[in-house]
Amino acid sequence: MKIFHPTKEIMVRCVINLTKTQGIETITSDQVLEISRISKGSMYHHFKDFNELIEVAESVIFASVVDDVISRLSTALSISKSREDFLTAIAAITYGNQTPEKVEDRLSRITYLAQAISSERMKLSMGAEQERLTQGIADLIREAQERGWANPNLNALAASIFLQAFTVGRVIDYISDERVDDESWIFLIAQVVDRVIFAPV
Amino acid sequence: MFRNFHPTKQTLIMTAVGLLEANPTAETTSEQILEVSGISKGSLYHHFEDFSELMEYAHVFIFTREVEKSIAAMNMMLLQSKTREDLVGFLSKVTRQSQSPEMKSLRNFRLVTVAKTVTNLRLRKFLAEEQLRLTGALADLYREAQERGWANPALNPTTVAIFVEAYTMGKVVDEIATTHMDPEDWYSIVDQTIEKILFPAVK
Repeated sequence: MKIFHPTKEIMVRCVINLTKTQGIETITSDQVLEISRISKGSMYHHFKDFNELIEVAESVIFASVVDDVISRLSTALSISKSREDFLTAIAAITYGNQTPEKVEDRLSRITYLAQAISSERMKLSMGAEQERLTQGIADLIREAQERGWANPNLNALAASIFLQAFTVGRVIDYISDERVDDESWIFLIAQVVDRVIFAPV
Repeated sequence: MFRNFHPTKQTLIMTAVGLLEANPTAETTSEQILEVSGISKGSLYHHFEDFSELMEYAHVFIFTREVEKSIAAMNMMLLQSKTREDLVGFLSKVTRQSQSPEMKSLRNFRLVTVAKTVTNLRLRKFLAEEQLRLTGALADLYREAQERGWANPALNPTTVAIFVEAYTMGKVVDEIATTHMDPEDWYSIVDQTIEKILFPAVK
């Protein structure tokens, strides 16, 4: 976790707390100034503009998601004695991420990615976290390959991107009200996980 | 896609499309569009709520046209394939085109447009129609391949269509990070997914 100047930290925490009750795009600078009791001058001393504060808060939120995923994946690896154990453990993580309850998370993820594409500043702060997530998943796949639990003919980095790509990309299905049923999606994903990425040697 | 639109509205969208394509990395301004099209500012704001709405339409237009090209190419492949192996070979070539680094700006457009639908209901409604049409066309192709015994009969064709669209767009994840994967490694994983899961050989 990055260490910020105390004032900066208060403002970022304030935005993160507000996201628990409202969408990040609806948060206003007046709201943050009032709740944090920090002066406007001080805010603009630490952030070039209000948007930068929002971007920093988004990166911190994303970083905590990354920490969570990486720690769950390492646990899955450390408790598994066989490929079957391992697949059961990661199934809980993978399918947990595909549930309808995760729709909001996936929508915010896509919003962050879009911002990172459009803004160099956001790309700098998000890029490092994205890298950490991709490498964390790739390390896990590499370790599974060494144990003979994953497809040796795949590049671990590309496999990591692939897993994230179809998970993030599923938002396409949420644009319209006609959606594929979750069971058929999980069924397809399970086959890809089981027979492509973690295909036994 | 814009058949029901007023001709002025169509002209503005097509001008934006032309400018976006001529220089995908530069920012297109409303001044440029007005100058090139010869349409007045008042008229632009009569047809569009704001300048972003015009650009949203232009992005969706480019995206849809590209996907339609891919669908047409896939239809052609299905027609020309005599065996499952022919089809898998063709698909492998399409992967190398549609997933290539050169298509990056199109993928980025796509993601940014989809992200906007989170807060922009106007765009969401418009994109939803296009999205259903494209997913439907891809699903039809898959169903046809299933009927010929070349595709996995256990999979739902619409789910497969969403899955293919999802990983194609989601590849953006790689572009945000600081180090990038080798495109060949990506093609390999897509090929293996096509070969083993989407179009498996009958045992």
